[in-house]
Amino acid sequence: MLRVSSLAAAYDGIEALRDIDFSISEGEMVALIGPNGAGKSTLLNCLSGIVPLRRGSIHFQSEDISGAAAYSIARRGLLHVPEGRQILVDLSVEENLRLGELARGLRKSRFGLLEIYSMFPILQERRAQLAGSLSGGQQQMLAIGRALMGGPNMLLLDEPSLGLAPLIVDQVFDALRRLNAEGLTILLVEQNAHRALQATGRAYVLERGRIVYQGRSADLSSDSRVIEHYLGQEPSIT
Amino acid sequence: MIVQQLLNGLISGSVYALFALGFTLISGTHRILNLAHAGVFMTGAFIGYYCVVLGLPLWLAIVLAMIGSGLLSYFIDIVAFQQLRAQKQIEFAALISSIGANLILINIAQRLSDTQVLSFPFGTFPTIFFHFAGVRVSALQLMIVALVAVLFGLLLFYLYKTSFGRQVRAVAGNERAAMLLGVNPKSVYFQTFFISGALAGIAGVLIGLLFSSVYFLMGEPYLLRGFVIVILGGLGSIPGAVVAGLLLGVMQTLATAYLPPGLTDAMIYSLLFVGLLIRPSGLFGGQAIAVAAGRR
Repeated sequence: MLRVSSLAAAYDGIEALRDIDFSISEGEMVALIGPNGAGKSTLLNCLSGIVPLRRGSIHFQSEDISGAAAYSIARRGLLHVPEGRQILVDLSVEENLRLGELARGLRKSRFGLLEIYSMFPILQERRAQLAGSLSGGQQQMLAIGRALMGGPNMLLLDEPSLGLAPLIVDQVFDALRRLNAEGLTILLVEQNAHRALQATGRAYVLERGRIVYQGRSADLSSDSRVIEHYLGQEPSIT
Repeated sequence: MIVQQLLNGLISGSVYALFALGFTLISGTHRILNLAHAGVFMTGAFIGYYCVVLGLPLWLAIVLAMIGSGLLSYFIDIVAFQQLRAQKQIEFAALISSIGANLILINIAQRLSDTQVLSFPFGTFPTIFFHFAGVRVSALQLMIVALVAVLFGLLLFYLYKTSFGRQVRAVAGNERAAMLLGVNPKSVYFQTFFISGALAGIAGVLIGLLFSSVYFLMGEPYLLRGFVIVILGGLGSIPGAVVAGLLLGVMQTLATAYLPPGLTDAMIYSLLFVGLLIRPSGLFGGQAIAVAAGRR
């Protein structure tokens, strides 16, 4: 479904990603983990067209989307839930969701307002409020719901657990697992590596702009090198 | 007498509001104080004038003036603002480049019109006066007041009830997040600048008709008033622009009628001063401030 070959990109003049090769098949849920500053967010931004590529190519559903404008990538069904949620604070909750509908275009989707509201009932309760008045967890649900309104074929999530209480993190991950079980392809970027490896089938480890490990999530979470280097500092969070 | 003065004030206030609608649309959505709005307004008046002189009916002249001014406004966005947008802090740079665009338009108009004050041929708009309860009002004045009400309603409908408006507000709030949702920012910039320009164009024709003068500097007095209106009403607030415009018109007319000559401008800026003391973010500025805070 998504194939990235020898991708390189610069961020503020510094080469942030080099020789990135990976692919994700339909229906997979894949984690991308790594330390802070490894280039995880930059990689997602490349996929969604916000950061231009320096080299390499990205194919989505066998179409070359390298260099395409961000809005047109979203309209093809590759939807990115950015870091920090980036909801539109001065629009109401429902307006945020309706805006999400734009990316769907003429594609068929099983997600409409009703489905989103039944997945996250709190959003329905708050639908007329300004989105800026929601709590962090509610904003994350809104950000995910808004992307689902766009009828995604694949979802890119950047740090969905960032700054959320553990109970809310559980809710968000439950929702993601359910979506994946229903067939949605997901690429998940997480600082919280334990969490990410539990939830996914396969994972890539990114370090200083390169993919240094890859494999099944279960294997990675028991690999002593990975534990030492990437999981060691945060067992307390889970 | 006072009723007539109040009515006159409301009419000139509507004229200010008409000018300020497009001005405040751009300052609210793109945080650009587009001083070239005055030049676009003046160009609209000229297009309308030449269309009428060439024998076209007034309604068609107005439509052509709106289209021409709308396209001009988008052209100004492309040449004066688009390059600056890549930078983070564009407010000041855009202000300067809009002054430049305004000067260019004024100079072109001055050359083309030989520095003449032109007037619409007599009878372009039927000169009908209505009298009731001792006050006198012309059909054109009534039309301007009605038009402000209609355009105000349409603009609010567009911004708050349509998908286009949602996209505009999304780009205003967070352009990157909007793109990730499939909003094409180029189409938003085209819409807002075209609409702002078209509003300036129809304002130019009607104000040119009302005062029976079309000349290259006609936008300048409105620019300064437009500033006061946009700031008093709350940066980017459409209702704020209308209320502040009406308030300004009434204050100005009353000051002219009842105070010594020369105090009119002092009154207007005192109004702005006092207004900002009481409400630093303008009459309807609360929401705009919240938006700015959310962006940080």
